[in-house]
Amino acid sequence: MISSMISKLRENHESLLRYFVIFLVCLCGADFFIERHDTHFKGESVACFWAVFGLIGCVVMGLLCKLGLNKVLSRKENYYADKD
Amino acid sequence: MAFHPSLIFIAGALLQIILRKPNYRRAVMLSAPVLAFMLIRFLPQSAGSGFYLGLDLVPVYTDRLCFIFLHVFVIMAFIAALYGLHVNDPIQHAVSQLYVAGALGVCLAGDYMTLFVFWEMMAFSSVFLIWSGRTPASLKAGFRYLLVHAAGGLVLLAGIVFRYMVTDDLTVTLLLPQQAAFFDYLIMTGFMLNAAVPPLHAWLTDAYPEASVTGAVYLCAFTTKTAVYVLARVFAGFEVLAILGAIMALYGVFFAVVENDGRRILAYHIVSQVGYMVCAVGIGTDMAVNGACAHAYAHILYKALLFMGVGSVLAMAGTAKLSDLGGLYRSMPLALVCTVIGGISISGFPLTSGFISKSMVVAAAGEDHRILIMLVLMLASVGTFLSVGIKLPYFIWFGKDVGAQAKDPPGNMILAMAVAAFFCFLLGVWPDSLYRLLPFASNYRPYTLYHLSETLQVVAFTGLGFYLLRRLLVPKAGINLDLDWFYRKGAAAVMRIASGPVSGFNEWLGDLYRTRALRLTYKAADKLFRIDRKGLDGFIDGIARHTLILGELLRRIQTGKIQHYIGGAVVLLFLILIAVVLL
Repeated sequence: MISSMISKLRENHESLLRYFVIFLVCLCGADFFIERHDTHFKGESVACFWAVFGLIGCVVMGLLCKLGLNKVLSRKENYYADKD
Repeated sequence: MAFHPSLIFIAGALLQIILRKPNYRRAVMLSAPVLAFMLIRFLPQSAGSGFYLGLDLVPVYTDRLCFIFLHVFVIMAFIAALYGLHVNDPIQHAVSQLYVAGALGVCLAGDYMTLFVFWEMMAFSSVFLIWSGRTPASLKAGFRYLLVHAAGGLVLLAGIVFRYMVTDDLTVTLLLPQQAAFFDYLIMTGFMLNAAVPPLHAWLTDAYPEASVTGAVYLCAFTTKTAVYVLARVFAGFEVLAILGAIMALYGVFFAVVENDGRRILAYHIVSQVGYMVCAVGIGTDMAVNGACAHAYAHILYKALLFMGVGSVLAMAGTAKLSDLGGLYRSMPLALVCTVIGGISISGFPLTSGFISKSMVVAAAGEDHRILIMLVLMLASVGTFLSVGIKLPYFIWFGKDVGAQAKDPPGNMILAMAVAAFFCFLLGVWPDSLYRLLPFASNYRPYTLYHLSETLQVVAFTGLGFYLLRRLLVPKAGINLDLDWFYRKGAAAVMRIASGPVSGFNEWLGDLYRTRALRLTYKAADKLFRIDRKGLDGFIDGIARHTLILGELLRRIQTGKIQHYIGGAVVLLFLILIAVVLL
């Protein structure tokens, strides 16, 4: 049952993507009207601050880790196999 | 004298060895945590104080800080026992019981000596959970784990001994940063090693992924969290912990983003999530320590759920490497659902346990005007959702279908995952069920419109980020070097020296003995032979016969496997310990 549900969702991934984009827009729109409480720094008062933080944070982290960290530290699976 | 809850698990461990029928052993595995759960409610605040070896020992000391950890530990012991119920391996079950006993003992210890004994009990029993993986890699990883923990244990012991010499006091109590002396920092280092604070963290990400499927579920819950507990008990408010904790939170996610092995991704997330707790302990306010405890409680349950989910993939599909998996949603849908629940909990989705605990730590950082730390923790939660919330389930259950043959795991494993998933939602939906256990009074309310908007924005836009980067983030076969490189390479260098110059010297010494000393020995033997012939033969023959019998016995015990010897020594130690406690 679960797998057939997932299969159906996967078949309609384009409409899923559309709903996701609508959800993101609503989320950002709603943030303009939400009352802030206990803000700790100026950024928190700016509408959609956390949306921008999440998107930029994710993209920069993905690029840094994959193109920086992984390139430098990646080794073959058996790197330690005959050396430890 | 109060009945120590660890004794229930020590008895459980012994029964695992003694009982022949698997069903009896299963009954013991499940009933020990239930008994302990009932017992911890009736523990007095302080009991069992005694004078032993000239030391004032307090084996049972309880307060609210201790109780919340005891509470989650026994719940976790039950879930892990249920998950491993189908495994017919008495030794593995016995050491898992000892491991839980050690964790409870550390929580209850009112003095450093008792704490140290239970601390080592955890280290030595947990290594058998790694060896229970029964692969060459797990054997090697277990030895490395043992060596690192032995070193950490020695640093801790040195701190304790110096502390006793200087202050004549072994009470485990809260220190003020300005009171701390060098020996306190040694103790802190010992604690930090178990909490996997970088650069002392590599043992965790090296060893946990090599443990048995069930063993990893135990391991992910106890060692690091007992370390968080003792740090909170003694070192709350130490600035160094706040800084290292924040670094830790980010360090773990960086590696998790690029890692390929599913269980290693989760191991890096232990480092990251424990970073939140260590950071909160370092901030040290009432709200922050509450946050550390709440997050430890929630983390134990969702991280166990994740290890159970990925462990079931390893058990059923034969690998946990993302590059070798994909498209499992058709064959393992229940494991998918459970793992996703763990994934959204660790990412702090509303209505899950992560939301009500992680947000408390972040809010505590904000309230203490530590904006940079707050932003680092938020960034770590972006990385958490990216790597565990999306990447892990996506590349195992969706992604490219590699046609791996698998099916959902046995009923007991699914049931254990369902119980953990239930707790993830229960705590998320009913936060007061957790908040009422916290050590300090709390008026923190997680469900406000702003908190919800903040969290949903972060996770939703992280999801968008993943969608944009999905081709770049495809995992590739291979490993990533971490700080274990130093001691793994270091060990190889020591071996080269041992097999080179040291071995050469040994051979030279052997030659010298053969050419010179043996001649002298022969002469002496000839003289002794004459005496021997005349009077001692009868007596010696008698001894020789018995020696032969004893030798044969010893030969049988000597399996040549060092794990067996360590196991024997540990069993002996525990028997002595039980004797000491009982007498």
